[in-house]
Amino acid sequence: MAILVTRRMTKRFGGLVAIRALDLEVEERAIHSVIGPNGAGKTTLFNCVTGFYRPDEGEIWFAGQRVDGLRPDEIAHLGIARTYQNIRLFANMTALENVLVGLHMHLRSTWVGAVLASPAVRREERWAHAEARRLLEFVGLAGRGDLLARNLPYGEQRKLELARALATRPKLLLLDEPTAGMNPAETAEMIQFIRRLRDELGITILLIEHHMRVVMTISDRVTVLDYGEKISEGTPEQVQNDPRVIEAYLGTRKVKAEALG
Amino acid sequence: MWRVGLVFGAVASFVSLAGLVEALHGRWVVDGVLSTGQVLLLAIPMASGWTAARRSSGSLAARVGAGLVAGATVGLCVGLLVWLRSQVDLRGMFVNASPALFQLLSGGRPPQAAWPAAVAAGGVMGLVGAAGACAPARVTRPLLVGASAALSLALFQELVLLVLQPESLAPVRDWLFVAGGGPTAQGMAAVLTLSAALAALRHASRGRAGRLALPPRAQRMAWSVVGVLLLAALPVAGGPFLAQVLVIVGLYTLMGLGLNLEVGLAGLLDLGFVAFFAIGAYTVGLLTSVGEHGIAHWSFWAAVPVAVLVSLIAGVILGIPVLGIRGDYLAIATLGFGEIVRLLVLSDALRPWLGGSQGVLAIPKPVLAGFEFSGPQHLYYLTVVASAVVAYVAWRLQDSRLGRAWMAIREDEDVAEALGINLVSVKLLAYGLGAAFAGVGGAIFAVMVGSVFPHSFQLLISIQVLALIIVGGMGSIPGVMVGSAVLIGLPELLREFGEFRFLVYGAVLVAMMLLRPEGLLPAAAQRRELRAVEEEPVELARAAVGAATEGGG
Amino acid sequence: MAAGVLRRPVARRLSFVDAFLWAFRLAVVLVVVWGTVGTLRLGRYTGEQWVDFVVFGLAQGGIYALIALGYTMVYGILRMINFAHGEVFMSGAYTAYFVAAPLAASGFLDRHPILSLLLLVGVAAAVSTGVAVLVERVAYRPLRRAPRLVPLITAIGASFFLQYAFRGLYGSGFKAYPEFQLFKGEWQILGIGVLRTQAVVLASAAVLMFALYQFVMRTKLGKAMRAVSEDKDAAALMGIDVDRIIVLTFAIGGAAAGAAGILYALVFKQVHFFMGFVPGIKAFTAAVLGGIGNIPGAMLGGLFLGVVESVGPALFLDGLGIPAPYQLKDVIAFTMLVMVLIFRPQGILGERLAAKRA
Ligand SMILES: Nc1ncnc2c1ncn2[C@@H]1O[C@H](COP(=O)(O)OP(=O)(O)OP(=O)(O)O)[C@@H](O)[C@H]1O
Ligand SMILES: [Mg+2]
Repeated sequence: MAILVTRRMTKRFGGLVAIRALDLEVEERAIHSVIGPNGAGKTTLFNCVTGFYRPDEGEIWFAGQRVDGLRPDEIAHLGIARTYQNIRLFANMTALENVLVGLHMHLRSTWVGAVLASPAVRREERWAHAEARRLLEFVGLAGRGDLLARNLPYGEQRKLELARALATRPKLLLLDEPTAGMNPAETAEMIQFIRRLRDELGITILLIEHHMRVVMTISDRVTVLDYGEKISEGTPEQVQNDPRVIEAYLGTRKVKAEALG
Repeated sequence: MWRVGLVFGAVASFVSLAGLVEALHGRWVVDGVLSTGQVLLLAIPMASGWTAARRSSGSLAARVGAGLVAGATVGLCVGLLVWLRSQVDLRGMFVNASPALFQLLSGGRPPQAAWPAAVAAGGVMGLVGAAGACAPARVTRPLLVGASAALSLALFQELVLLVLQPESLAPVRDWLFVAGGGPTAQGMAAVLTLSAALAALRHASRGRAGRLALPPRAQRMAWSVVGVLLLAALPVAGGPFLAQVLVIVGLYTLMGLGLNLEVGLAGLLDLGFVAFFAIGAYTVGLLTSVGEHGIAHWSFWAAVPVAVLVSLIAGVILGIPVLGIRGDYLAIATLGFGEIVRLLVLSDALRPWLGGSQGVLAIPKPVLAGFEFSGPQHLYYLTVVASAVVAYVAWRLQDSRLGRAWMAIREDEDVAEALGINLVSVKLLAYGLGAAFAGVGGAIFAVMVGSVFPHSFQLLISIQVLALIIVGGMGSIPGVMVGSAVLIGLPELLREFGEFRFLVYGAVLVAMMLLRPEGLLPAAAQRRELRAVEEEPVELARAAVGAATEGGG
Repeated sequence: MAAGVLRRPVARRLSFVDAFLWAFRLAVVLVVVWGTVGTLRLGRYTGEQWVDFVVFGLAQGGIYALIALGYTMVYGILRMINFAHGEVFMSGAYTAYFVAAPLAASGFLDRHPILSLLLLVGVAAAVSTGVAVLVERVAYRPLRRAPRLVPLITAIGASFFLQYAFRGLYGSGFKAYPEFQLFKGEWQILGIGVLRTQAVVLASAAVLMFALYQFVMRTKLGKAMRAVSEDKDAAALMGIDVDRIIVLTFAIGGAAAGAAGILYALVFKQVHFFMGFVPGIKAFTAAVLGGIGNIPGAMLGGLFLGVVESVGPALFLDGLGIPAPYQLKDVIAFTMLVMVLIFRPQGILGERLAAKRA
């Protein structure tokens, strides 16, 4: 069953059509990749799904509910979380606090309770800290909780962003180029990790990736965008052999170094 | 080094012409010998020499030489100023270019003879500064501490004299101070050497087992007991003047804690903040006043909760329209709202209700079980209790789910929203609670002054509050207290300084952002991290030791 | 990084926030309409008086427009509000007083009024330029890469420092600017009696703005300025010295503000260390009204604000029966400020841009 569906979704910026009448179906518990040259509209797709942008036309459905037009926080409550192409952590907060913010919507305490330090609030805070530590450990950041996010090395920042997204307990996780800037060993580790998210936690993954080897290894399904249009879709093998895809990548447009790697 | 000298020379000329030197000249460091104004004047070539020596990278001689030149250049600038004044009438333009100032600058010499002396003095001070830059910290640190202690004594001599008032302390007083004048030479020398020696000792014992043996928890307890006792005793020892100053510091602390929620935690730069202080004050004024504009003749204690609630609601209401505005536009929009509120209160249109520029008069002092909080010494305790309660609330909020949400929207609003944080409610809570804190301050302010009028609620106040939380360290509660003590308390104590306080605020805001943007007492997360970084190697070392012993056994 | 000033697209449902904002809009519109109708019915003012209001508003607006240029150009390049710009304006006019007073005392001012005016404008522009460049060097340049709020805070600090520095140097009292005999009285222009000072101010402001506009649009440096404000990095790659262009921007904005200071002194006939604050905020309002970063917009915004502020108290407020409506002149300006910031931060002329996110 499809957990995320877009129907003829269009997004324009002034005269530029960033996404044109996109039909997309993401199956539950799938690892679904979106690929395409620079400026194809991949990140814009994510921004529409998470409510950062409102599509100009078309619909977005998530788990049987129409979500376009909802505020980002409402969409988060429904179970969509994301990471960002250029890492966006809360730089001046510690790693632990970053994850605690991710837990925000699963905590009930109000400011009055916090001021009065009621037992319920204290219990909840203890639980939240333990949970945040567990998540840090899960992504491989055990013992790094007290460091400010901005002082973490690049690879750990990516992990922290993941931990923060996982803290919201998403049903669908949108990953925007999670292996960008990683070396082969780290990339392999990330592939394993994404698989674990799906297999152990049952999270559906929608993945933007430029690194073709990654895409071909882990995707169940691949969608190819070019100039905002879907030009191909299918299993990795089908897509790889689609002449339109090859043309889009090898055409006149600038090609990312490792594309089609 | 020429350029360094010229920059500092310009600074020296500026502080002289702006009247700062002369104002400080009225306060002795050593009675009849050296004034704080002179110290300021001498410190500038010294700083110039220090900077030049720090900047030049050559041999020791080259660095000292650079310091000498940089210091002498400052002297030359001052000499030129003195000469210039003998040629043209500077006073037509610069109101503070008084004969007394130039008497001081030229050391009483005629203008032609003044500049060699100024250059020589500047050169010597430049050398001293350069020496300071070249000498090891082991030497300079204690000297610096000693000098600061001596200077503090000079600056706060009235306060010290106040404390030394009892007859039993007369011998100490007479030894430290000339009767009816400034500190004595022997007193100053003693203070300087004593504090320098202490600092040297501390420096020497650092790293070894120099710390107190008490466990951290007990230590903290001990410090809090000392702090509480000190807070309780201060106005008794210092008299009504000090109590008054402390009440003002307390009011700014209350406002600072409120604005800290908005700016420090939630990153919402609010320049109209004083409006909420005003709303708290006017609410109490209107509800309790026995004068013309009083509407209820309530008691203070009944009015305070209402004032806090009204401020909170006002914060929310003024917060709603600016919800969608970000960053520096927000600062300007809130400034606009703050000014609108003030101008409306000031206008004749609302005069029948709010009293226009006259304000609301005849606000009675609070009475509790027959005890009237009449003087500053009584209000002081009220302020301390209010600040303590508000600080506690702020502290609880900061470490709560809401506090984290505030910090998250400060760091990145979009990301915070995508994590399920409702921006509207979180922001409105920041505005509302911040305003409520300011309302508490306003309530006390109303009874302290006994009347409220729009003139007390100018933009300047908002800027001062902003300055104090920046100096203290954004997002840091102890920082707010330190900030208001430093930025509000000190200028109140140094009354001749009053005219220059805003000048200093401006300079401090710029300097803090350039040199120490995290403030004097940075927020908890930063400190926690410092600790984490410090402790890590220790842990590793311990683990290594553990592994080694296991392997051996 | 999210563009700091842009508002998110409107949400689908009408939330209570939107309802509140609509109520706010409605209240302002009601006050304006009700007041206008009331005033016109009362008929307290003659047509000539209205013309006077408008001319005065235009003269004042010309001053705002000149100051606004500095805000808008700096914002265009650095995306920061130069909060100290009002003080740049003050510093020139205040310093030029010490030239004007001796000129007036010696009679030179009335013997050579045009020359004197040029001299004063020159002095004021030079001082303001110096102050603007100094502020940039000390308070802004070291913070080019800092978070957005940091330069705003140093700007506030610089603003206060300048106010109280000039207070310390020149004293805290008002200084009465000497008047030009030539500019006393009225001229008949198109059959309308116009106060000479206002005509001179308006004409000078127009000439200066025209010259500045030509400079920015036509000269090589002006083009470099526009290039830098489009894209700093690209401009640097094209061999433009970005730092130099930034200094130039501050200098030009400063010079315009200095000239505006003299015009202000002609109209209001006094100077004071605090005189920069309110005109500064209003000029900023003008810059936002016209769409910040947009030079012709700043000029139009200035004139518009000047006229509304001058006509407003009589037109909108008198009809409501509000006593002493002129006290609320600044309230009108500040209300316009917050209204633009809330409802049209891109300005009246600007286009709505989508916030760039993620
Ligand atoms: N806020 C915006 N305003 C205007 N244009 C935008 C905006 N966001 C994206 N665009 C444009 O939309 C197009 C698609 O951008 P998008 O970021 O979605 O590409 P992408 O596929 O993620 O590319 P990349 O691989 O470089 O990340 C681009 O031409 C981009 O310039
Ligand atoms: Mg992208």
